[in-house]
Amino acid sequence: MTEHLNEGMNPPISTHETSAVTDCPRHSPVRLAPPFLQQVGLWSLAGMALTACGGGGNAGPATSPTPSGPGTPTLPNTPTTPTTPDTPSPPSPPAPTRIEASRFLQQAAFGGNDADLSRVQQLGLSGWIDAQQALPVAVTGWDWLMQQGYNSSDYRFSDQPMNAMMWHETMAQPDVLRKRVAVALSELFVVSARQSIGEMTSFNMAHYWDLLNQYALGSFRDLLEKISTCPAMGYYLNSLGSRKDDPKTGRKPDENYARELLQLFTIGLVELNPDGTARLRNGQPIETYRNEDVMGLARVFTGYDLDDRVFDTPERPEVTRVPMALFPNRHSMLAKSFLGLTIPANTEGSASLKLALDHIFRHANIAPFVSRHLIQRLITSNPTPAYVGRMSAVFNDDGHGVRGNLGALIKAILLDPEARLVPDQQPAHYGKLREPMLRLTQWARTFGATSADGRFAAGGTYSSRWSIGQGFLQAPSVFGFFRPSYTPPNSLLAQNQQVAPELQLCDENTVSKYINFMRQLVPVGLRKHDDWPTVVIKPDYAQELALAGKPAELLARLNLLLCANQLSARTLSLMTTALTRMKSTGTDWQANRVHAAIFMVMVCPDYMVQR
Amino acid sequence: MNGLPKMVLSGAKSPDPAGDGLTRRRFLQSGASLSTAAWLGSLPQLAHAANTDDYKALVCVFLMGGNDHHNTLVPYDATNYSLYQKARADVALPQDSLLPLLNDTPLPYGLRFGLNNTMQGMQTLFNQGQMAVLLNVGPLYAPTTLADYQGRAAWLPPKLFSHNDQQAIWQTGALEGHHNGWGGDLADEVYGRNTEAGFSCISLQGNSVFLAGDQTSGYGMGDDGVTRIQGSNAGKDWMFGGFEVSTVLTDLISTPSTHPMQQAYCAVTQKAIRAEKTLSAALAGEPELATAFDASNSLASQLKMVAKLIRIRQKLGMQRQVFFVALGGFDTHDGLLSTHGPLIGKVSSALASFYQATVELGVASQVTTFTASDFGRTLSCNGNGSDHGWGSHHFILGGAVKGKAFYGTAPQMGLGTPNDTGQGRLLPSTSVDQYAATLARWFGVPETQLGHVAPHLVNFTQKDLGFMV
Repeated sequence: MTEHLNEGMNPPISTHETSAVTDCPRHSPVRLAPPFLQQVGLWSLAGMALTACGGGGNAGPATSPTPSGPGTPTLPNTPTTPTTPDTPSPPSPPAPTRIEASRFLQQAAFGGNDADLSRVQQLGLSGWIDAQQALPVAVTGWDWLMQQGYNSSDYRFSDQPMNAMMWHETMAQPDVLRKRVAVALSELFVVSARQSIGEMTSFNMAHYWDLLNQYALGSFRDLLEKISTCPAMGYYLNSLGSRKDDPKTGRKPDENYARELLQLFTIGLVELNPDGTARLRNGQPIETYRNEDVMGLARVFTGYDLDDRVFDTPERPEVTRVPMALFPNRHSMLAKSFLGLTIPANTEGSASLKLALDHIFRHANIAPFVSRHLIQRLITSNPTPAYVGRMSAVFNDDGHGVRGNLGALIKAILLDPEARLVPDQQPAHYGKLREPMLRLTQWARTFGATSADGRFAAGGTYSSRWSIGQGFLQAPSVFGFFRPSYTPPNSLLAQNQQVAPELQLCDENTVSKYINFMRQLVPVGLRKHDDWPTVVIKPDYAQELALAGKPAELLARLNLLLCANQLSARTLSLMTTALTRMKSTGTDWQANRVHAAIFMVMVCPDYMVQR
Repeated sequence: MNGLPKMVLSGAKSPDPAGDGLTRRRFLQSGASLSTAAWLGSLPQLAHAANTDDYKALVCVFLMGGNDHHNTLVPYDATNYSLYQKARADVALPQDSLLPLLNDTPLPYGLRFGLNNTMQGMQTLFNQGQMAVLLNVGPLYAPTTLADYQGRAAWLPPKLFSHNDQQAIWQTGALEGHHNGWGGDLADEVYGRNTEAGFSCISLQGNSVFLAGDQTSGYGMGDDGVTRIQGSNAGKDWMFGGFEVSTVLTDLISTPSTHPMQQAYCAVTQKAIRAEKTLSAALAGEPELATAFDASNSLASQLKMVAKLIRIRQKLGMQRQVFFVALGGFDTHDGLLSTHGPLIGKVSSALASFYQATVELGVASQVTTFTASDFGRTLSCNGNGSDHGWGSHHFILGGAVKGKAFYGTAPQMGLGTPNDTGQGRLLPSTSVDQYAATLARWFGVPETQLGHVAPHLVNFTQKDLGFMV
């Protein structure tokens, strides 16, 4: 993949930027000159040493998928214990500025308020990550639904309790790093409540969400096993109820989970180098599997169904949070061959599952596949191959011989020099479009939005007709909200072969709906799901209201908190003009100015890209 | 989907499986015009503004998830039904429930097809001559035999059986990540004939690569009509206690910055603002359609919006348009009998209403509607559903369709047939390229440009499948 700015094709405004980047030495010596991607190797020369966790650098040319050995240890399931290995500390960096702290919280959390920024400054980025990793899950989503009384047959097929649970989880819980990573994982291992997920849909989804949280900073291998046997996944991708071959009727095992486990969750369709680029043979990508592999793996996922030994009622929906049970007489005892592994005939179900997941977990693609996904969700849509390569190395070995340590991987992703490039050092396309649902969560976090009765019973937001077209755990299909390779047609991005996955959500309809949604939201808050006029999640603008008479200061505050000072002088000037002209007398003038300011910032293009 | 290297049958190269390397060339050819130019600058070729109603529209109805064609179009003659029933086991439809199709020309193997009993609307359309069926069509880069497939011939389309990639191949001829779809390519070929060229391609289902061409990008709207951005009427929209915000808002949200993602986002916003003003003005005062559409049927709501847009074609100076609508939920690994019937019934009902609306608007012969889907499905059953397949049967509807007939080659029913790649996953006998080219020729794409729309057409003898007048 070649990526470079093609000056001849840029519209005028970009040509200006390009020439500035190329010719003007107005920035510090560590500024990376284009072609950026060919120069990342200079980082070490520029004194931007890799973090301890990110060591390992760019791996050499790949060989065929290489097992790292069956003896590779995996992490124990200790989600409440910090899983980051205690590597020797690099010389402690200076405390981050408030701008750096804000930018960091947009990558690692859902943004933050004054206190959140101060906390990052106080602990430093690495210390903040360690502190976050040590935070326990305060209450699981499943338990919270019970506490709120959603354990009733009234909610049997409703996703509304799940929406409330997700607002509570993303807006009100302290372990924001885990939550942000769990959201990113929910966009990799997609299960969606856009279709009903069994009886007690919300409880099934809540347990699935809880598993993502439990392992978000833990073992990838353990997470794979948990989601493979979780009822929610069983419902969504049909392993629940899948049965062995029946030669008499010609019935075959259901292939859905086996296929998506390989294609979407772990290794993808083509063989990858550790840096995430496609391996080529005779100039062509090499497919990772064929349909025969899917058919072989599908036998592994036969015999699963709800655990009928568990007492289960709508009032106590236990079956939603225990693994599916294996019914041996429905499990295929034929040989199971896939990806070069043959699990011998007559191997029973749980042994087959472990062998199969171990084999997939050893595949050379997993490290770059998962690393790239997490980088794209947290940091930037177009990471350099070197960045992906450094993260692959951490995935493969966290420094203590442990493979698939997500806590170490997340820390490395956040502290990598490429994540920490400040705007002056970034290539022109750096960053990612903010997802609509994350914009909404950021609004809540920044302005301390709360639900007075603690129930967070606001409606879902997935509808592109009534809302912003995206909602937590409500992707339109197993392919998620957007595809990692999406590029808007006829754009500079397409021309430069860069991607912008989140832009797949943005068409003329949804960008308009978002603006109108924000106009409704900002003045009052989020409305109740079944009672439109009632607002249930309300912001606290006290600090902003105090600045209503000083538009420049008000905007400076919002600029810092919402977008780490990314607003251009032109944008600020337009907003200042509007605010200054607004009334400064009458009953609601302060509120009107504050609402207008927040609205304008959160719909403007400078805000839209997290850089 | 041009730009793919023309495949040479004797060669071992498969055509650009990475799907890269073509947009760049087309950008060079087209002078790198960004699509917004058409919206912001002078409108091209106003001379064509239509007083005469030289109008044609293609409507792509995409069945997301892979329609189970075996339970859509089912053999009801005794011999073939028993083969079907044996292979389908628990998910076979009852023989006496099927709705017979009365084709004049008989099919081989004594095949008589009927439709799922939820599809009365489409049965009527077929039997009255407005609808045709294309049998066993799917992605193929060249004529392919079962031996070619089993021997992993070099020209096989990549990533068979994968949803997103087969959707992409159906829509673009290349894998996911490819930037041009053949709907967009079609529109490129006739782009200059439309006054409001930005409405050449319209999606009712979000961003669709099918509608992306070199000059055209799909315009996205909801089935609820056009959404006006509140505050986009500069200085006239009251918000936050005054007019000050609306005075700056359009400038604020639509001014491109230097970041390419912001530019792309702004381009959408610009189109949204401009298109809303144009469409709202054109739609204003139009009466409701007399034709009834089922309001609880998402596909029907989308097609109703398409009909309303077709009605204002002359106000917008449109001569050629491509529309994209879609319905999800067809990935019936599970619960096939309970979910598929109602779902395909929605397609039938929506298409019947839409055809009726084109009659109401006097454009029945100018609008051709066709179905597409990720892939067909297995004939064998996985318990209570079916798995991903390849070839499938599709429907073409409109006054210009030579209906009441089957096109393509009927596959032999049952497992272990010459077209069975395993479990009844059909090896297609007709390529999507041939399907696209036949529609493109009717649409008015010149013979010499068909390769732009259907790059693999060169490898097939039959360039026109014959289902259009």
